[in-house]
Amino acid sequence: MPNRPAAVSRRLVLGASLLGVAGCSLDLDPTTDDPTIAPSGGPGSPVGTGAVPEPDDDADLVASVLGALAVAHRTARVNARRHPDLARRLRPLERLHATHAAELGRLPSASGVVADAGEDDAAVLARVGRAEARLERSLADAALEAASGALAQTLAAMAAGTAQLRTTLGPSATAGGTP
Amino acid sequence: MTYVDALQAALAAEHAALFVVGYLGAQTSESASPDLYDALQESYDAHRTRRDQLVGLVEDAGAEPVAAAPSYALPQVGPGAAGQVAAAALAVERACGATYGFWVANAAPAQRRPAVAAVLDSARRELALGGEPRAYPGR
Repeated sequence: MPNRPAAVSRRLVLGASLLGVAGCSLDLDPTTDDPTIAPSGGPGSPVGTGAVPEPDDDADLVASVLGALAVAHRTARVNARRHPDLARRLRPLERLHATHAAELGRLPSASGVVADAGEDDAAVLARVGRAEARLERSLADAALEAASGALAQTLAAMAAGTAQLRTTLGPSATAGGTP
Repeated sequence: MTYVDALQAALAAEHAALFVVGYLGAQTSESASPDLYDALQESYDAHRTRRDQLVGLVEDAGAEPVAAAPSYALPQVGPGAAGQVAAAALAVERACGATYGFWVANAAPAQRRPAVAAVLDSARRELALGGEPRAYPGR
């Protein structure tokens, strides 16, 4: 989906979500109610090169992100199987990875970071949390690099979703994400 | 939408957020709801900082920063209704997060770092305001 446009209405964002405006309008562009975001560098962008990114511009980046997702996914999955008492907390991570991967393509096979036998729950959660933190950083870094603005937005949102869900692992797993 | 449009949209959202969050803070008892009070204070401070950052970025881009409106519609919250206050603050945070997403999408890679940081920061703040984890905060 690298060049999938992210169509969001500014009127929706600023009007509905910010509970409306009394006495004035925040609709900054009266020419359209529902603009579709142009990719960075595309027409209308004062900062770009003037060329709309080709899908292949981000192919390597997407492959790299899918690899990072696969490692985190495998880590959550294997640890959930080995520690059934933690499965309730780790399964949502698996589901999030799968959701994110489906947006980009398909998860490649990967090896995960598996907790040693005998590790207590806190150590397992900390290990999974570190894997999630690495994924969060990878997603945020990829958002900075993407040629497509729409892809960048999606990757930033994925990083944010990963950061949010990581907090459910508890305090031992919440260090080391993006600053 | 251009980069400057996206900056202006985010700035307009910050103006509204400061107005609404300031009101919500005034409706919240520091002694009765200390966690919510602290979350609102942190939210207010963060949005003020982000507003100032966006003003600078708009000016750096050679444009006139959009001004705050004289007033904004306020959410209906009853006295002592901490749940309503938190829900309203969460809605504000999510709205701002969406404008940060616009900002990311319309910035060139070299300009994107503060926008990505804003998306992440806003997502964390959602949780402090009682939000549940989502798959795509800021989109």
